Amino acid sequence: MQGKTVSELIGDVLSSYLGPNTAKTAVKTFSKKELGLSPEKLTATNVPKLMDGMRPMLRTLLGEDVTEVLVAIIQREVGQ
Amino acid sequence: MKLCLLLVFSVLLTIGYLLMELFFGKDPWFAFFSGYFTTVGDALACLGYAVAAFKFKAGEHLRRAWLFLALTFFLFVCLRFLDRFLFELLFGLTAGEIDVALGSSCVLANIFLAIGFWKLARVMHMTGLGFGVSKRKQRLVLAVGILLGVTFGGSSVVTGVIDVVFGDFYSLNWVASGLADAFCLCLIAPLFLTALAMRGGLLAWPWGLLTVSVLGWLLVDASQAYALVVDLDPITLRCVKITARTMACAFGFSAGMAQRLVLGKRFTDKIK
Repeated sequence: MQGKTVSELIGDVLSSYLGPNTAKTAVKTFSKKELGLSPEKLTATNVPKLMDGMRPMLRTLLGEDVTEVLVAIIQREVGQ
Repeated sequence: MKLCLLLVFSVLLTIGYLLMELFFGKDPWFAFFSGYFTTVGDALACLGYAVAAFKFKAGEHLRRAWLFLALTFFLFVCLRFLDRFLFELLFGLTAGEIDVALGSSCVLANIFLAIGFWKLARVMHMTGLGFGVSKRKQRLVLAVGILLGVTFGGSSVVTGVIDVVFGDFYSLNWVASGLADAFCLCLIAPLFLTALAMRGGLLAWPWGLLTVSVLGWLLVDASQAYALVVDLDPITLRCVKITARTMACAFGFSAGMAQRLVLGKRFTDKIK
């Protein structure tokens, strides 16, 4: 994980498609909405639920196939 | 790299047409050529939008959005080839009926265009993410977009309404088309804001190229509006109008291709 927080890891993966600003907004919006947590407090165990919340947003922008690839990469990166 | 090539292709096609207009614009054969060049542009846009649509699965929002745009340009191409002669030959229609058929098809195409752009413009709202800029800046950009759309797109509505008032009811078609056109031009603001929100990411490519495409349509309508105010000679008007139209179609094609490319295996493998 190279010293990065869970939210930073998720943001890094999403930013390749959404750009750094929207990726950061996405992590912030959905961690608050789905888990009631600030991004800094996210842990690896929160990721599956966070991803469930993010899926519809990602599907709208990227389609199902790319969404599933990104979700798999995120889960691998955070060690889920 | 391929994404940059799409941008280069669009710029070269636009400049290429402009140069041809400047060198051969006054030749009688060029009017005929530019008419068919427009159809090639429409076919190119149709191809790009269709290619983007089929990268998404059935029922996905962006599939429907791109598909509506593809249908619009498919109709434009069909209308070009199904000209008056073929309408008469194939369907045995009278001149008045052909006018109605052509006009209705044109209105339908413009409605598809409006639906397509509306669906694309709503994407960030649907995701619940917003545009990532302050509400004040958003309102400012939206106001500029609406102002440009109404000013330039609305001119054909005004002239159409005047014609209808003077008894030319066929002009109702142009009123409807003009309204759809003005509506699409107003949507340049959310498209631009979406491209801006995605800056630094792969999705900035299709959205950015699409914004430039709508800018091209805005220039087409601006040239028409300008010609209503200033007595512009037909060759100059055609030069500006068809160059802007070429820009709109070329960038539309590139936007569709970029959408497909960024969702392709090549980029997902890179991220892995």
